Amino acid sequence: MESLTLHHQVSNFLAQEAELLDLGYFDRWLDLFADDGIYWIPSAPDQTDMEGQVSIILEDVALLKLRVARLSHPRAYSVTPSPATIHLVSNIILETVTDKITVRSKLIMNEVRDDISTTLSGNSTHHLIASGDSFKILLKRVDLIQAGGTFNAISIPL
Amino acid sequence: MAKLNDILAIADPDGMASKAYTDPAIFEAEMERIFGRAWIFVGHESQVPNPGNFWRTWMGVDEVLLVRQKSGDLKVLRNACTHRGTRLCAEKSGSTNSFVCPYHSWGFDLDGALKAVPDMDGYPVDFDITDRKLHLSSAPRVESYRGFVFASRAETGPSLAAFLGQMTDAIDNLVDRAPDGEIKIDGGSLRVRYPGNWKLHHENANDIVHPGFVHDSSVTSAKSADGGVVPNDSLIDRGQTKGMMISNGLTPKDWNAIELTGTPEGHSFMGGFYKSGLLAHQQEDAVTRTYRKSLEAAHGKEKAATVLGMDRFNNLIWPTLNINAQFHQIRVVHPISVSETVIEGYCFRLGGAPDEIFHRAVRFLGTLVSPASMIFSDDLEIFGRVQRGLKNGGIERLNGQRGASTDMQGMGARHSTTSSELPLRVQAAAWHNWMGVEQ
Ligand code: FES
Ligand SMILES: [Fe+2]
Repeated sequence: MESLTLHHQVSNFLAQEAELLDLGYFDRWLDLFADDGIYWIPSAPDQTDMEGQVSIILEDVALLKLRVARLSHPRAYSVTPSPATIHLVSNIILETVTDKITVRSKLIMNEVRDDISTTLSGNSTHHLIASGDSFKILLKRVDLIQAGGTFNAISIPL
Repeated sequence: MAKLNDILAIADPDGMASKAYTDPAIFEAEMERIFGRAWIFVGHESQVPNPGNFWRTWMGVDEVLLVRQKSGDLKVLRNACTHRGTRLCAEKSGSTNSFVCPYHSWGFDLDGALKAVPDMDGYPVDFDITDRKLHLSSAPRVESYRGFVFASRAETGPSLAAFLGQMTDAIDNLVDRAPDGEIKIDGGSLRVRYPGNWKLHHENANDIVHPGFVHDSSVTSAKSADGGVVPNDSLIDRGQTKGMMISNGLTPKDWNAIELTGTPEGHSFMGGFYKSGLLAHQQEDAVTRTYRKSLEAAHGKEKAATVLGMDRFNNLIWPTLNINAQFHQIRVVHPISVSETVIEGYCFRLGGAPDEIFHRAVRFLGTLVSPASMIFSDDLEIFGRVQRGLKNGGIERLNGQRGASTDMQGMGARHSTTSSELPLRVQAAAWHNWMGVEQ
């Protein structure tokens, strides 16, 4: 019973996170990260090495601040006009629950910009830690099923 | 097919005709006359170190396999079966004794020779398995310059040395940065696509007017973030990414001070523009100091200083390869269609250098070429917008006159310190040279 409550809370948290990205509230999205949180999109499936293998994104909060600041700059051309997105999060599975919670989920992100529609899909892994009546993100890792392939520019966080 | 006279009228030193970016017939002619003849970068030897190793890539729009032979030589084979044309190899890289077609199992040797056809009895007597027409078509010229492998589909033409001209010094510089003299592609790769013509990437590489505008969003964000470019600013890359972002924000005067060089072969390079933090070549920390010491031990103090002191950013070897020697990176450009291009980015591990030097190169690659790069994504966006603008058809000819009256000639190349568009003009001239001659 207790784990169902936790599952519900975690699902709710992931849905809120997706909502912030879709609404373009990137500052508030960044607030979901712990101070030492990491956001990671590996370049290859099954990548384990952060330092010795290139990533699509590997950023801590200091770098994410730059990313988020750029997104609201009036001349950030790659997001002008700004895209409309849907981040669909589903198949949420609580993997381990200790003082850290590991959650796996599926992500489909559809982006429409200038009449062009793009879809990216991946397996997300969140490491969460309880914080007040919610959570903070210690690690968000998105393994795109397109990883290793060819990408158009990616601007909105996944 | 486009007529020769039409083609020659396209390249003007002061600006290419917009057709060169939008007309599929011109693209087809480019694939034949430029990518079908010039020296095309097909990989680095470290990608195929042992006999049987292969690496799948493209020469123009043709898929090819770079294959290490039993003899140690390299061959570049077209990735298509001579029976009915099936794509032979679907893996990006690997190791094999032969290439066997999935369709009717014709088997080809590493050198492209047809060596096995199942149930030979069914063939007439004049079917000759040794007929060269049945072998995989192999590029007639494959040459390596210090590990960088180029291939040409033309039997004759300028040698690789003549084609590279003075750009060999960019390759030398990259290789010489390895204390033990060996460099190796490592750390994975990134592959990005943009909806624009392949020339747009090259024309942008050494365009030093655009950063102040196109990259304003990343410059401003990096500048406004707390603190300056301090070494342990960010856990992950110690200020490197921020440094790369801020560096695009030089004043026009500082950009003008950066020397541009264009060579008669269409190549070009720009001086370095990283002036602060660890990216600036004069700066040192414990890691770069250890590295410098090992380079000094290998080359001697004086040569090590020369090698480390070569401060350049993009070294463009037209039409396929860009080298950032100082940051141990390359970008490889593949035209897909008249309005679509793929760019691959790789970095190198320098033999004998500390791991941390390699990790910095890995970071650099991510910031420079990732599809999610805070810098490059704006360049990609602009390429797409140029393509869309040119497609409107209202622009007959692009303008590339900036700096034309102040460029200087010297040492077999053109130079400028006025943020000149001379890289455009040498590219237009090279384009004209290759396109103007029929097979
Ligand atoms: S097409 Fe390759 S064996 Fe038939
Ligand atoms: Fe740029």
